[in-house]
Amino acid sequence: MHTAQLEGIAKRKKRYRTVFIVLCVLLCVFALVALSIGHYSYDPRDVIRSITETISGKTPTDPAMDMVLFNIRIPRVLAAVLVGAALSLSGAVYQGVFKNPLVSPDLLGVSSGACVGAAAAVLLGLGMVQQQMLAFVFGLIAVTISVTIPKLIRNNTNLMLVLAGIITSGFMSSVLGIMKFVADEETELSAIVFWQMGSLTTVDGIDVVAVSPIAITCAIVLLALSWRLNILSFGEVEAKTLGMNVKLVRGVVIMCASCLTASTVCISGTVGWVGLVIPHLSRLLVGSDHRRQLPVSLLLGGTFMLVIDTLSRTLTTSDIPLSILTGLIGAPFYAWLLYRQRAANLL
Amino acid sequence: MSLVIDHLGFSYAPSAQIFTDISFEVEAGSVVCLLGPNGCGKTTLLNCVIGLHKATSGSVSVDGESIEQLAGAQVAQLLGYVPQEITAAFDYTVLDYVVTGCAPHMKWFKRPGEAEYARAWESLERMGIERLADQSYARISGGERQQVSIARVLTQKPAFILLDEPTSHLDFGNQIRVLDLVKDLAREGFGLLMTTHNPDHVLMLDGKVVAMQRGGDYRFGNARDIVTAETLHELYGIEIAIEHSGAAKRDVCIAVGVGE
Repeated sequence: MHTAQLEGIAKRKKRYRTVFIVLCVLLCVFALVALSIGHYSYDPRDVIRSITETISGKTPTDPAMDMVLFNIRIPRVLAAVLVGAALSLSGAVYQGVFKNPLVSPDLLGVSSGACVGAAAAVLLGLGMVQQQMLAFVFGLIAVTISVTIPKLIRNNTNLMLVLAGIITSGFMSSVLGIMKFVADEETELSAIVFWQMGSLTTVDGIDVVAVSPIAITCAIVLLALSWRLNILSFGEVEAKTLGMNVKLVRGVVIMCASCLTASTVCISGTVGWVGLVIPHLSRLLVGSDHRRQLPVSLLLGGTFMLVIDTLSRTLTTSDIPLSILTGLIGAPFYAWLLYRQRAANLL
Repeated sequence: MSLVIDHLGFSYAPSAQIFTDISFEVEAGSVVCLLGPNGCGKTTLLNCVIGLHKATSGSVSVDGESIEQLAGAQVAQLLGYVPQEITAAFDYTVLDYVVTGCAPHMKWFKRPGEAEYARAWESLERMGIERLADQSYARISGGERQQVSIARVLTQKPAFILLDEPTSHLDFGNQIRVLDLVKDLAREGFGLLMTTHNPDHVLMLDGKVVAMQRGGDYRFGNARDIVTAETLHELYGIEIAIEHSGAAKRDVCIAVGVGE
């Protein structure tokens, strides 16, 4: 018997369980901290009491705190977790599908498309809800263009898909450029730029409720397909010889990951780095097997975004755009990760 | 069961025909080798059989059923493929890699459970590489990867196994071990189709052979009839001798030299 090998396999399993539990605990702790601090800071014990009181239908002891929690902080915390988890999960999925650890969720143009949609809403003077809907729709339109180009050229390889993504993103940023050019500098341009940098300042409970069903459905499908994703990441040829309908599975996975990104980007604006860095970190923690990497990416991304958003609203009196913080923290962190991966011979 | 390759032709472009009309059969329980010089289209032929390339003419069928008409998972239950070179983008463990051989037998959302892992472990044991089970697939040698790849196809349990130069990265000992395994698998009822660069391996396996030439000419028959000094000279353009070895109790193939 090769007990050493079996022990090694058991050890990996145990490590995954530990990482999973630690991340769950961390997420809860940070959520509690995020709920407690801000413009008005509360004792975490009071926060817990207030929440349990409201949930169990009692009259809250401190109605003011209850209002802040349920109208502002809880939606915001949920939104931050949702956005971070969604971006990280779809980033991890994209990296697997494209066999490339350097890919981020905006590879096929979701983000640039969403930017165009949001900017169009600003120029047309539409309200928040319409802006979110336009961002979502344009994000998906961009991905649809990206996946249609290879079909038109009759070359359905990953490489062609990546190139199509570059074409779409390039085109969309030019369209965005035109919109910025004609926008009113004082009001519209600043609104577009602010959206591009990402923020959860205006998020409310309705937003979270509106996007959750799509996001959660897509996430469940992706998690359920995680083992198939392993096979897909071997490359098209191998997946095909294992009897997989590569076009169909890849199509489903890309559509789910894109919907997931679009559904969250439309409430937060574009947020950089998360979808690239978090999957790397989770791979370093639990390995490449998507059955473990995807849940860990999801938890880690949610926690990371929660921390970033809490910093963004507490560091200064006004909210700092999210992409500024994710870039400041994410970029050096990514460099460190690459160094670690080099040391572990993974790159 | 038999795998029938019927008047198969393939070209990348109308002006570049790789082969035009190849027909042969692989019976369950037998070995067919594809022999021929570099660039004659051995791997292309395998790719056409497995459906990675679409043949420009002719058909591939198993017991009268055309492979083209079958769904991917059904094909993968009939035909398994061991490619020559596999690159790893991510670092799965060898066991997790081998267990993916169960995929054609599983539903979309199902994940491998104990039964599947037991099957994968069995294949590793059969190849004698259990020691690799928990190692990263990206960090083992090319030869080990080739063995792992064969272990996966054993997990897949298709009726026919296609191997593209299964010995190309292996040391002398492991080459012979793999050939021995190929013989064993044929005895167990698998049909095997493999490409090789070594005519001596063809003699050793003592099955049938398709000797391909550049341009699409080929001969199909028993290894002993086809692998002759003249045929090999035609294929490779060098002097080759076939002599009987008392120790091996069979004919062996020896390269004499490049000739004049």
